[in-house]
Amino acid sequence: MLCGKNRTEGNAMNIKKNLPKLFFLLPIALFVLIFLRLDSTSPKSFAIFAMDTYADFKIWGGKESIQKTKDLLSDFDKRFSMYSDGELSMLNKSSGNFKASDELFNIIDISLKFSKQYGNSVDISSGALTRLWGVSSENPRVPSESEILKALKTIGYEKISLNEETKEISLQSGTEIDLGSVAKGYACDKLKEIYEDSNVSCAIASLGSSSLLYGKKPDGSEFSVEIKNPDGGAALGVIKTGETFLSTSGGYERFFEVNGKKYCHIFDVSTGYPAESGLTSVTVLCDSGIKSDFLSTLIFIEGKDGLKKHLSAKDYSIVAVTDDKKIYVSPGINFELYPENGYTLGKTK
Amino acid sequence: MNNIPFVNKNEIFVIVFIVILGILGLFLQKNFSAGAVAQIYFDGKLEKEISLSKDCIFDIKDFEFEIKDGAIRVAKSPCRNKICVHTGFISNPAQTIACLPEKMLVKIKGKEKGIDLVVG
Repeated sequence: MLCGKNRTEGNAMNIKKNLPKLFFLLPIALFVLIFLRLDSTSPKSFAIFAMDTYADFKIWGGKESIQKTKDLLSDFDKRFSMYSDGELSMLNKSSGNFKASDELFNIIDISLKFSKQYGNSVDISSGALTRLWGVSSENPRVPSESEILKALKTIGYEKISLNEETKEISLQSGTEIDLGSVAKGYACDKLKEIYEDSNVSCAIASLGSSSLLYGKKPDGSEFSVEIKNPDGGAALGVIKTGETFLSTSGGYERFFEVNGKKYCHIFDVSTGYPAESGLTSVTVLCDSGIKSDFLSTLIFIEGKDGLKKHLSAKDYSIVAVTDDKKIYVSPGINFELYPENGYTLGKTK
Repeated sequence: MNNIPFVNKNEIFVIVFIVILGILGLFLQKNFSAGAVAQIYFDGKLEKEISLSKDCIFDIKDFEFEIKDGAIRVAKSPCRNKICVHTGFISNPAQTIACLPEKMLVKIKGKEKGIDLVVG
């Protein structure tokens, strides 16, 4: 202690003697501090309301990517909405051949291919049904049986024709396209292209139901993603993952209620009614944003009974939560369950 | 040491001391910050900042908020789709409650728990 005190006194005397020198040295020390604080490990965070969601971003490096992110979202916000006066609305109102932008053509083309490949429980031609129920609109309502049957007749991927060369799209009369199940995932794909082009080292881009975890965190650790509890309260568990796209579908946030019955925003196009399949939330991880978005909706609609084949799929991984408090996790996922919620890991037979 | 012009041994001690103090400061700031705080924004403007350590119920505009057990939720909202109400309680800086029709946002500021993203 004494030694330490003496040294401090010695320093104090020196400081007095060499005060002018200190004026030069202090700024150097401060500079070191500022440098430590503002080095590349601090990301830029920002958020915007777009594409019918609250979009939240954290980006390390690549300054110009921030403006590009905002521009992309405000463009897609208008272009892919059923309810604005953007390109999709114009297509839905069109008759005959509609000359589409590359973006709109692509997203429709990919979605139709997915419906053929993975199953047509998700069908982007279901716009008339979406509009009829209006779950996300001012006045949601339960339509009559005959209205639903009429809307169902407009649904089917064969009702959309695409011309690859001219980028022209034509819809059968009455058919409307709803990109709600794919647009955010597709936006995540485009964000990844932006980050690759602008030297971003790491990015966490959340568009609500679809997200992109890009690159590697500065400390080298994996991304930690918590799965919300559909009943509210503490999270169900945490996924550790490297770079990935992920999308979640659940019916417990976006719904409306009539006479105590809940109607969610995800529709089963085979019945025309909101999906009720025993699942409360489905999260899909894979290497494509639009695919993760499409599949999370599809798996949610197919329900508990269809889980087995999705759990063993090679090209994507899932975490599915059932209404009897079981969590099913693909073998490839590093998932840690928080036990305090009463949920347990399920096993498929 | 005294051969180096302009800087002597004691001054190096001073510099090292200041740097160590600074690093210590940053470390303390990161790990011993006060409990979590909720920030409530309307149309991008911060309207209220409130600690989550005390349970309470309060109104802002036509919204009713509830703080309970270190978490906050929207209890009542004038909006049409009630997504903000259905979101339930949040307590983690990686979580938000957003009400698009009313341009209302609740964020949590506080100790990072190492969670990058919350989905579902």
